[in-house]
Amino acid sequence: MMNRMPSLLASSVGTAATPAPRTALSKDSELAGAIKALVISGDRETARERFAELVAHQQRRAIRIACHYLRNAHDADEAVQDAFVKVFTHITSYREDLPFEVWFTRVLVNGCLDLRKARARRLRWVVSPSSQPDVWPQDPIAPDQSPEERLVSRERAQEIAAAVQRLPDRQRAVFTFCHIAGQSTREVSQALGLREATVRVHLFRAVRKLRGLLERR
Amino acid sequence: MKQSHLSDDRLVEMSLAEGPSSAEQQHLGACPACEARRSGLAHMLGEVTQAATEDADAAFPAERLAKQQVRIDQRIQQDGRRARVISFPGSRPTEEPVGGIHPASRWIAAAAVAGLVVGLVAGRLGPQEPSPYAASTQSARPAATSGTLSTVTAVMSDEELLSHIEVALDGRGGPALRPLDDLTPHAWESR
Repeated sequence: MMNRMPSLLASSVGTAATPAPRTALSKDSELAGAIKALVISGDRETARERFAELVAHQQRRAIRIACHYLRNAHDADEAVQDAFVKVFTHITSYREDLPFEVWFTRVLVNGCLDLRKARARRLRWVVSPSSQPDVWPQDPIAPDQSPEERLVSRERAQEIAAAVQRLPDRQRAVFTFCHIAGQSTREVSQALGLREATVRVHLFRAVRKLRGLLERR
Repeated sequence: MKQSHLSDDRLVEMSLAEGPSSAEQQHLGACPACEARRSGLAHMLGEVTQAATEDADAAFPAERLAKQQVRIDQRIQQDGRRARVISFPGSRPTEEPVGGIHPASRWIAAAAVAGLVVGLVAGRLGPQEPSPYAASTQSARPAATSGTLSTVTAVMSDEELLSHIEVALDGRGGPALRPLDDLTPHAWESR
């Protein structure tokens, strides 16, 4: 199900009937533009120093998104590092008319999905299909909790994660971007190449479905 | 006039960006049932967001984020630097004669060939004593096993042995490895 997301992300941009109206750029977008100018002018060292500011601003949000997609702290760490390195390496191709957050989130999500595919391939070789678990292997992600608390919160988190996984692709993508990445419907419309009204409809349906799934339990 | 209850869909819409209108706000203040439904929905959404974020926040405290920042910076620095070429085996490649072979390497090659020839001749002409390993294998194994060993060594030529190795390396599975297993000592036999 999730594997269809890269094509959704990659192909849908620019194919929507009406692009979302241009918004005032965020501070991070301006910073990304400045870093791009520095790299183009050959001042890579200053660009690298400024990029550290950008990393500090975006890091927490990036970690949340990666953890949501990968459910594994080590993989999330790797995905976030890769995304930042990739963004700096390709900063000259950043389009200043788009919010930096949107571009970066797309790079990150595509990286997460690639990592998931790679992990699935690895598991196929290492673990026999009969013993392969249905859920992704997880780290003991909050080691300071008591065993009971960990069990209860883990069960609830699994219920919620399972409910989110049951959403159709677009609804799940929109919900993740809005509620976990903290992006506005306008930014999501730019990231996914959908009308803002369509994003709202997907979000509405996602919330309605989630409510049905979680209240039934 | 009393306003009718808010629909589920309207409550969902209100929980997203727009929020309630002033009339709806009034109704929510006066109707405990609708207010309970609205707050239940808000709680559910908060729970979903919290479940997605709190694990990540717990797994990545400030120290880990700081380490990650350092690592990202290091990787960016490494990407920008030219790859370091390590010379091997130690001498500079530019000093190598382009057209011919270095005289010293000729002597080394000749000595290696001579050593190989001497070794082969000595091996053929020397007394054929059983190796201590063979003796221990024969004494430890029962008659049936030693029979298998001698049959395999007698019947199988070097070519066959090599082909068996190739088959085994091709990954055709355990049976292909059996002749090799018969020829080689096991750890418990050599004690």
